[in-house]
Amino acid sequence: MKFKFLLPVLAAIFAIGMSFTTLNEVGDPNTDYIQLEDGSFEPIGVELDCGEGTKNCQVLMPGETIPRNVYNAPNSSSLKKGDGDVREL
Amino acid sequence: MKTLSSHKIQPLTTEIISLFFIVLFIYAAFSKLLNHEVFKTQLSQSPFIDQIAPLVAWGIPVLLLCIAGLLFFPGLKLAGLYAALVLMLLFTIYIIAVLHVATSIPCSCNGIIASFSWNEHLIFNVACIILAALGIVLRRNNSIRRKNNKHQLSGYEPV
Repeated sequence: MKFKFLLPVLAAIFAIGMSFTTLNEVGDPNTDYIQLEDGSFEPIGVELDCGEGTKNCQVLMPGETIPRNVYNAPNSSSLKKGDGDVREL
Repeated sequence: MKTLSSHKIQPLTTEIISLFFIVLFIYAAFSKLLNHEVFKTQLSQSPFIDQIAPLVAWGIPVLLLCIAGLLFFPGLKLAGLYAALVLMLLFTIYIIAVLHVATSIPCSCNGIIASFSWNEHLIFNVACIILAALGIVLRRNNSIRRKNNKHQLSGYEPV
């Protein structure tokens, strides 16, 4: 009986710990992000409407010729999807 | 070598399904509570629920924790599994509505797992619905079997 209650408690502790580890992965919902050459993420200041679709959303930054992938949060697993058209800032 | 018979596998499967939902719901609830302001802003940008975003921003984590709480206690486990099934069905209906009815598709980062896209959420939710339904069926079968066993034992008369 004790084991039957202990196991959910351990699962709950595990889940709470897991939620703390992913705490920093959430970005500002009012802006999208791009990844810089050094691997860091930079907010672009706007939330882009990338349309509907499963292609990577891309943005052409001012003064650049190659579009960059757009991210919802400052982490590489939050790649934004859309219609595949390149947006310009 | 001893093998697990079906009357042992069924309760074990129900326990594993319950543990999965406990981890999932508590993780999702705490992630949303720890980033409450961000979650509220995300909801205010979501279609259909933008007007009630502050209420939903508190309601969803509280509801997730309550359902996880039900799954802790053997007597309330079946109710917890039913609640999990209904909640996952509601989330799935919302995702289908967002994908097919909404004029603009918002960031899917306010979902149960932030890094999932809407389609990934949809597949994950359908899998969760199947798991919850399986848990309910197994739990009910187990209860019926236990009741039958009790009746058999109570009707047993020693010679």
